[in-house]
Amino acid sequence: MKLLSLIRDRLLQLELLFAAASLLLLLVLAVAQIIARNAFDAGITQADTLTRYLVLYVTFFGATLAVDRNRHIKIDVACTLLSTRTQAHLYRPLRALAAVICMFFADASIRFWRDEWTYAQDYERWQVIVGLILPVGFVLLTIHFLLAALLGPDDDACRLP
Amino acid sequence: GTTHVIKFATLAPPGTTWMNILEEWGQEVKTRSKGRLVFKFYPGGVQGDEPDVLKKMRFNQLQGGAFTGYGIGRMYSPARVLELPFLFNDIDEVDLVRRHFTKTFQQGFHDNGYELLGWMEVGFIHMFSTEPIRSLEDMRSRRVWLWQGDPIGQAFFQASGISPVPLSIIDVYTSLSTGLIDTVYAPPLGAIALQWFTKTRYISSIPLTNGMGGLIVTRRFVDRLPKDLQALLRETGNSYGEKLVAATRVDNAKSIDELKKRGLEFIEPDEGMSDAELLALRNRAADALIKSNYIPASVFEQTRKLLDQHRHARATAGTPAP
Amino acid sequence: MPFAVAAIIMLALFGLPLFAVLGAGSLLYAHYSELDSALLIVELNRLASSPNLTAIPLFTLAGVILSSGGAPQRLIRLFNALLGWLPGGLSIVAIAACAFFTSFSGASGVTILALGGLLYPVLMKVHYPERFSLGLLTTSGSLGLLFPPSLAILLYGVVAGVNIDDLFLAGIVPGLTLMVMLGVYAAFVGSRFSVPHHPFSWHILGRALHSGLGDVLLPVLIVTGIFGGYVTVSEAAACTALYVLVLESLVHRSISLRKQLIPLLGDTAVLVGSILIILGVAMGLTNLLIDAQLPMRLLEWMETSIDTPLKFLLLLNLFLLAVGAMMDIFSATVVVVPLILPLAQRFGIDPVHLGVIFLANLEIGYSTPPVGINLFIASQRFEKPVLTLFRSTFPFLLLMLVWLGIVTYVPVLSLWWQ
Ligand code: NA
Ligand code: NA
Repeated sequence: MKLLSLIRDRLLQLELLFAAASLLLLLVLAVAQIIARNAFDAGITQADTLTRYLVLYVTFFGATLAVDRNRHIKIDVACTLLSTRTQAHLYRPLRALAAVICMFFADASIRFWRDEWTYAQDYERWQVIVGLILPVGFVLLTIHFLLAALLGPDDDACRLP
Repeated sequence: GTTHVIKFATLAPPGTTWMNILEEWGQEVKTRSKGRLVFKFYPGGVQGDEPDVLKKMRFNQLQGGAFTGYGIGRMYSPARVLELPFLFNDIDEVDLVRRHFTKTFQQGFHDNGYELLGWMEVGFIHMFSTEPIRSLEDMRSRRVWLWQGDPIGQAFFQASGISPVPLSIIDVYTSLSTGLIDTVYAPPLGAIALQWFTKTRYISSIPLTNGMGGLIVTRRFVDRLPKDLQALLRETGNSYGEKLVAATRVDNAKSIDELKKRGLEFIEPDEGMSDAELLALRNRAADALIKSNYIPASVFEQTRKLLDQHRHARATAGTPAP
Repeated sequence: MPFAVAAIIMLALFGLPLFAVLGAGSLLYAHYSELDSALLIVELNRLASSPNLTAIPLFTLAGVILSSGGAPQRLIRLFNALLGWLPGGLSIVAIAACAFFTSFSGASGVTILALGGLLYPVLMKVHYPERFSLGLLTTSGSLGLLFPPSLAILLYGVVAGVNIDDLFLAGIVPGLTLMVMLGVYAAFVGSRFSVPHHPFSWHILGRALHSGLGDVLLPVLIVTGIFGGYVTVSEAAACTALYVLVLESLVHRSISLRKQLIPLLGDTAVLVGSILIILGVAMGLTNLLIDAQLPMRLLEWMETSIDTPLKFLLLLNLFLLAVGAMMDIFSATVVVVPLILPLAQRFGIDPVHLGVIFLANLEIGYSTPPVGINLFIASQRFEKPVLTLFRSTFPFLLLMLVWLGIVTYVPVLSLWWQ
């Protein structure tokens, strides 16, 4: 268990760094584009594409962080109607199930990515590499839900944002 | 027996010339196959941009689509020699080259996993803009749309020193409204069908190129069809393709009048935009495309030879070249 | 199939994250209709080509930085100096400050946490009835939803393919109408309970303006930037984020970049991730529905059973109120909008007006059980049972329903500029 929570904490640190870096890069690129367009009548065509991919990076790293902060949006009827004990019982099975669902998505995104790689035109290959975030993101989500299922809740499962 | 369903996507919105003829095609196939082969149409880009449709064809959600040159380039890029900017003087030249290459190209599609059932056309592509564009200089200070991931557009803009804004075609209309872009390229019929003309005021009078298109299905789907249905699909695909080409030409001509009536202004290029400059531009773009093997050198050479012969023959026969 | 759907709905009610619920639904449906699950990713990948989507993380970042800097206090101080002299002044201050703040923070409940906590004790101190104060602060948590640059509007624009500038314009009058209606009610309650209000002072206003000028200037800059045609929505988002970062770290020095920047970026990513992952997964599900030509069939069915736009709008409101009772606004947008959009167009309803109707319905949904985020958050923040809060918001809900009727059946409020 100690090892598992150590793994989780290291992963979370890394993901926080990646999330922060992606968001910061998104901001910097967006501002650079505005300056380039207005001051130099020039744009960086590839930068437009990259900024849009960065949204996916922020999304996936944010979503992995959200697992452990218990911040994923849910229809929380259970939180108002069920007793705290029932909710505690539900914590692990729900996360295990979410892990399974994410695993199927990870599988789907790996097959999607391989197809992209096979059919990419040469000038688009860098985008396919940037697009690795899709399989990586779902694998990370799977791992986090799995860890959450194994480690159990660390405090109130109904914590609100 | 079993019913074969062909899910067929296109960017053409419902109710347009293109979509009406496609529906007609579907009806004829259904009747003549006695319901054994039926079309399910997904018009108006509901299945996404052409690269998305292609991905869905590879994962077998969709079996076919009516594509523009942009999508065709991702299946079999040599066919896009038909779309090189400033290469053709008139529509007869386009037809000549297309006829010459049809067999070769059909084989090319086949080898890459697709079947070209028939040609289509989107027509002469003009620039539509919110400010008048008279020169390349004018264009450099505009926010010009690039169909994201289109090598011909990319090569053309690169050769002209323009840094375009890459966008999926799905996002063009809203991006024109928000000012993310202010200059787009489209055939007149397309600009009307997609409502882009409502957001622009000027049209360049010189077309950049003639936009091609094709009716394409996956080879996997055709291979699984009984022989008689294969023949039916090919035969009708070919004839409806011809119908589409003819109708597009008529409607594009009508669309130009319609656009004038709606108050759009046609802009003639500056004196400075000489033929020589355009030719140099075309050569730079073509060189880049040949160098990256997007359009094989041999295909380009054959096309040039064919056009030279044709123009020479016409000149000696006394028909003045336009 | 019906069994699987029932099981998935059960899991949703038990608290399975919504993106997983939608994901499970689409996986099962893909399996059932013999489609490759990779197709779900084809759709998700389309997020990476959406040019307006970049505005969402950037505006969210601005909201997160503003609320962790001193913006809530500065805003209350400023609006109090500006409006506190009115009868019912303090509650009008609350309405204005909450609306302003929500338009930036994205109506995720942050408003109640950040402003409600500050305002509640002050309202109680000047002898507003407890129920009124609770109800006011709970409903105010979603008040700014229709003002630029609200995330809800951005998301609707992205999903519906509607021009976001137009939506921003369309939301302003309906949003102000609701504020005025609530303001009048508050003034009425204020005078009935003879709540004291302080005299207006230029001196105090000047001091409050000095500290809060940077904040109130922000919407002015955004609106002029976008409607003046100087910047696009996503460029405005980038400028806003940069401006707020400079404002809080260099001008007010209320956040330390070295210590707080990474955690704040992380918080933003969590907010963005929890919303956009739902959008990504829902796009896959929507595609499966389109593949089955469900929207077209729904359209055919509606055409035979509903004959007038009026009937359609009434049905739409009932349906959306039910949706708002069950779902949060972001999930509702990505799931429901693709279904109702073609229907509304068939009945000649402008997609921009539809956006306002849609968001107005869901704004009410924030405070209706069983899923009313505002009720939950207020219950946690004010330490009151959810039922008490629901009872307190009831008069406000009635008022909002009247407002909904006006917004729905008087399209000119949304479309006057066309
Ligand atoms: Na609700
Ligand atoms: Na709700």
